[in-house]
Amino acid sequence: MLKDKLDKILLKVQKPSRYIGGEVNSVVKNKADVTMRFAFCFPDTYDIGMSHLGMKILYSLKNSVPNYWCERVFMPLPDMEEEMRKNDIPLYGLESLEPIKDFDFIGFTLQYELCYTNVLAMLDLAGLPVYSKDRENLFPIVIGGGPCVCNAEPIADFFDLFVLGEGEEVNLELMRLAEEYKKNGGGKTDFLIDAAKIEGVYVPSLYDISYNDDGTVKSITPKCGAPAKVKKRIISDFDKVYTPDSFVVPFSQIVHDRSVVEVLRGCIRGCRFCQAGFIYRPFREKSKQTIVNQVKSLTESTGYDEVSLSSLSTSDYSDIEGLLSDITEYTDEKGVNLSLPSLRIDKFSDEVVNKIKSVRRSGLTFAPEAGSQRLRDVINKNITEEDIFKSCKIAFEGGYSSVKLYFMLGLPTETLEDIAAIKELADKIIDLYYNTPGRAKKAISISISLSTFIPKPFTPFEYEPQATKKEIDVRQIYLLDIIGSKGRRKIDVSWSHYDTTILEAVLARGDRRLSKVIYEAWKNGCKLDGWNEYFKPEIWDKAFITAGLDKAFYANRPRSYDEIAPWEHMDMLFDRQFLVKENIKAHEGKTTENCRDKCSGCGLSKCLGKPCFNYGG
Amino acid sequence: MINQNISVRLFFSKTGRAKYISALDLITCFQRALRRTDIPVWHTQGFNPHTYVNVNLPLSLGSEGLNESMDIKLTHSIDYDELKSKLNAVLPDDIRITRAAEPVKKHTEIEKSVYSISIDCDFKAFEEFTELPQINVQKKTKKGISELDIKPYTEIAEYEQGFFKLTMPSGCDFTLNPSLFFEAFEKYSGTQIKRLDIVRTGILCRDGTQFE
Repeated sequence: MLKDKLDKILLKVQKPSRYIGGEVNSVVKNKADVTMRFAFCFPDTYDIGMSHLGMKILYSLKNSVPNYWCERVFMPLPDMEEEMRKNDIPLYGLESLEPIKDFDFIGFTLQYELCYTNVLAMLDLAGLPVYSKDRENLFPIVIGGGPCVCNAEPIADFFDLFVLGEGEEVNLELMRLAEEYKKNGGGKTDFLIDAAKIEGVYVPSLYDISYNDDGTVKSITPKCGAPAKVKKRIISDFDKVYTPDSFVVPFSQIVHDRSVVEVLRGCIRGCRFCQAGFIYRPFREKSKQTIVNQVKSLTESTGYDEVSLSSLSTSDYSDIEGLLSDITEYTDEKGVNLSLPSLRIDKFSDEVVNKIKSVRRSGLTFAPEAGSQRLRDVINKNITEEDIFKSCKIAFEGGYSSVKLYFMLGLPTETLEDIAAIKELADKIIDLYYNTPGRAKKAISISISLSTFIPKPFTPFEYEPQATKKEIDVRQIYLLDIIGSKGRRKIDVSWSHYDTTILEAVLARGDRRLSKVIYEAWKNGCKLDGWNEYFKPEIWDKAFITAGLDKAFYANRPRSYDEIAPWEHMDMLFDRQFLVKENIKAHEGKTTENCRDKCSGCGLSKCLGKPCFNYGG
Repeated sequence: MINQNISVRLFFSKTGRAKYISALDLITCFQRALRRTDIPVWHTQGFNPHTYVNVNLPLSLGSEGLNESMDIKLTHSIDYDELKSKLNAVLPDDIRITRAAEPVKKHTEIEKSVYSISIDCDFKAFEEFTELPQINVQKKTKKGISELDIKPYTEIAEYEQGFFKLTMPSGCDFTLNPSLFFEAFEKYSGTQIKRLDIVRTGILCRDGTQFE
């Protein structure tokens, strides 16, 4: 155990309780009874990782097997990393305080592209070579999961294998296979060939990639019996999917300090920019009873005084009014706050609105994403001005005086007219506020948050170029200009940094050659790239030069429909042709109905062998 | 409305990994633990009702404590042993309730803390340091930094190379953190302490008796 060494350094770092484990509901097992040890790594800080629901699910799931022990590992902040290196403390699991290099599995959840250098930093801090080919022993097996796996090519060289899709079942299948290898012996190569036979497992070293002279992918060739297409795993009976009945409760405050219950997976909306809306298909709900039971058991086992419902779009739960009514019956009695992020209140009856108003403390937030109806049709974002005004009115009458609006700049077909519409929308909301009888007696505050559109794989916009810095600058300046300094007293505007955005765009749609760039960037000091205070764009720029690669090639280049994508060998269970059809419709300004009203024919129901919804004949 | 509340004093130990829980986080930790039980806790009656807990004397981050205490309030009385076992079942392993009882003294009566110290350092230098007639330190106060001789407030007993009992003031009016003493030693001797374990073993009132 590293406890003695840790005792010497922990008082020198910020918030030490996050580096020592021992939290309520953390799982400590007797090593003698354990056959497989899994280090579940979240490649960002404790405060962020501990807020992540997926990690809690897989942590509990693995620990529910008596002889498997899963521990949590996070990225230490620079003050802690420095002390660890100075005192020869390798990266350890928070439960046992033992080095993870001696574990059987090291698994990373890959939630966003900007965490990639953290993966390298963590492997290195564990005392392991970062490249898969340099780790000759079978154990520890370094695996990755999460949404980024739909194009894991930029980090393919660092991982032994990836899990595509929902991990609840396949994780245990992999651990059972590894257990056999541990018992009967066998090398890494054989294990990886065997693992590739499990549906949803992608072993990057079993695919040869060749490139055309123009830098695009020429071919992706599987070997040693690996499948030509790796099929995403999904849980078919979602209501029965494994759900933890307790969470590890941290000592220090984290980002989302509350229990979280997942109500549905997938999304019916089909917004054309949204990767989650496509890769988490099909849409599946948990039953009301299951959700209410989970709210109760989590509240009781954690002692949290807040519970939140999680999904891509909770308003699309088929009986949302009934659900909220059942949950509030319990939470009101227990004095527990119910927090409902991303809930649209315009569709609700007054009774439900009143009920949730009493528990909602967070402000009013909308994500119209685009200022004009024309552009919202292009991106298939089904929110109209009327929807926004209706919600605003309800909220203003209830005493709210601040509104937060999220927009994207650089959307396909965007013009300055669409930008002007952002300002017009804000003006209309201001008028509405001052014309609402019974509004709060203070000035309205509107905050507009602008991010830059990032084309992502497995969306209809994966063919689109990202707008260049120059184009984005023009649009930002234009918006600030028309709002004017007087307008900015009521309308606050903030925007994301282009340097971070373009890097995310490159990594999202990049190919395997980018491993070299990530390696160079990390080697020269990049980590925690998602944090403005640690992000070092100039080192990244140098890394691209060293590797002889161009950011614009990956980010700002339109891609033809028949170009072989670096992620062509991933099968997300819907037809790639569907994305082409949707892209064409986008350019025609035509919308696509939501999946519940009408099947859009993405092809996923063919995979399921039945329609996603009962369309009533 | 009847708003009955019964005060209960919980005595507990905070050791091992729990010594890294800050005083503020410890309150949250107890509030959540209470919510994990069916103990009839009293809630504050304000706009935002919350579980009432009060730390009588915060312990510095990184120190262990064997006789810490926290006050809670109940809406109706329950058996103290039952209270203790219910809470121990849901608290982190390194926080253990040792006793629950009716409060005897007010926290304003607290005057001193007794620590059990285990130190690994240059013992010769350390012994020399403890013999000094004066130990001047910089102490941060609300008014700024002031110079203070802490020697008159520092009692050392039962000294045996590296182990001893240290008593220092801690209360509403005047508190000295033991770290001041050890930092002063490092500064005086120009050496570094290799290991230092501070365990608070007792809390004394003005009349010289244990706080209970």
